[in-house]
Amino acid sequence: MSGAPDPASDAALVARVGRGDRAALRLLFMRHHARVFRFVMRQTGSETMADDIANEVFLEVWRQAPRFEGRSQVSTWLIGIARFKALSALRKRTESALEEGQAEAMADSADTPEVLAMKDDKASALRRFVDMLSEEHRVVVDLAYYHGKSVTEIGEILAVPVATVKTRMFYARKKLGEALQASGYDRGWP
Amino acid sequence: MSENAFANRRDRLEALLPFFLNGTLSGAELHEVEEWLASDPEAMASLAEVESEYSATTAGNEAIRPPADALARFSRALEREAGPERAARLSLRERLTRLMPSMPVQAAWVAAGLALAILVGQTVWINLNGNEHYSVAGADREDAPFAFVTFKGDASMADVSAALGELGLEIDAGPLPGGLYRVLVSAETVAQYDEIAAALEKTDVVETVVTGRKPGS
Repeated sequence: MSGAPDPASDAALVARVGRGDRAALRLLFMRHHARVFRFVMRQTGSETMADDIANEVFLEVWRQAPRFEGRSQVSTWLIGIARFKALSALRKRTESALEEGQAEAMADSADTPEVLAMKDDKASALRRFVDMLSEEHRVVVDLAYYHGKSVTEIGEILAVPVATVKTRMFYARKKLGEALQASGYDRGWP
Repeated sequence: MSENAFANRRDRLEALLPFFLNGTLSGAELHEVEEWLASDPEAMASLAEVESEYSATTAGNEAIRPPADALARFSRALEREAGPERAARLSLRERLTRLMPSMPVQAAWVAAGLALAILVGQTVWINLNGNEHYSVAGADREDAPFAFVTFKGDASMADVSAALGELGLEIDAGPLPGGLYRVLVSAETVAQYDEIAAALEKTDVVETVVTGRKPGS
C-alpha cells in the first residue's frame, strides 16, 4: 500500500479549490450537496432556506479553502459551516416568514403518539417520532445515523463536549422508545 | 449535561450503540460495547432497535429531494462570486503533454532535449556565420534581442510571468516544439544581455537559457 494521498479525495479537492480550481469545487458540490441540503432542510424546515444556505456553504468553501488545515474531515467541515449558517438564518427569521409547508408539518407534529400509531406501521411511526424530537436531540440522531459522524465530530459540529453528545443521544433514544411504547409497539429499552 | 446523567452502565452503553453501528466507535468504548453484545441477549435486542432508528432516520433524510438544477444555479453563483471562468492554469509539463498528445511525457521530455540540442547547434552556427536573419514562427520583432528558455515542469504560468516581469522580460513565442519559449530580452548591449540571461537562469522557474540573438548581432 502506498502512502501517496488520493488525488480525488475530498481533502485533495479542497486543496485544488484553494488554488482557484472551480472544477474541483463543482466536484465537491456534487459529492456533498445533497447531504448538506438535507441537513439544513432538517434544521430549518424550509426548502428555500436550505437551497440558499447549501449554496452559501459551498461559496464559503471557495473563500476559505486556502485556509483549510485538514484537522477534520471535509464533510464535517461542510456540515459545521451549514449548521452555523442555518442557526444564523433561523435567528433572523420571523414567525410570519414560516412557509406553508412548515405550518402543515407542525400541525402534523401536534398529533399524539397514539394517533400517529393508528396511521402508521412501526417503521413509519418511528420515522415520525424521529422528526418530532426536539431540535437538539434530532440533530444528534441525524448526524450519527445519516451522516455517519462520530461522537467527537458531532461535538465539533455542535460546539459541545463529547459527554453532551452522548447524553443527548441517550435522551433522544429514550424518547423514541417511550413514544413507541406509548403507541403500543414492543420495545426492550428503556 | 455530563456522563453522570447515565443512571447505570446499560444507559451509557445504549448511548454508544448508534456509534457502534455507524462504525465510529473505537478503543475502550468499542471493546466495552462488543463485550456487552457478546454477553447480554438484551444488548442484541437493543442493537436491532438501533438499526430500526438508523433506517427511520435515513428514510426521513432521503425523502428530502434536493433541487435538480442545484449545480447549474451554484455554478452561476460561483461565477458572480469569483468572476468569469478562465482557462485553467496549466503547468509547462501539462502544456508540453498537450502539444504532443500522442507522446508519453517521458518521450516528450526526450524530444524537448533533442530540440534544445538542435537549437544550441543552430545558435552556434548563426553566431559563427554572422547570420543576421534568424526567424522563428510567431516572431514579429525580428531585430529584438531574445533568448530561448525552457521552464521547469512544475512551474505555473503565473510563476513564470512573475519571474519574467521582475526582469522586464516577456515571452515572444512558444511553446515551440520541444517546450521552448522565445523570450525577448530588453538589453542594449551584449554585457546587459549576458547579465539578464544569467539572472534569468537563476530564477526558480527556469530550467535552461540558450542564447538567441544578442544586441547588435
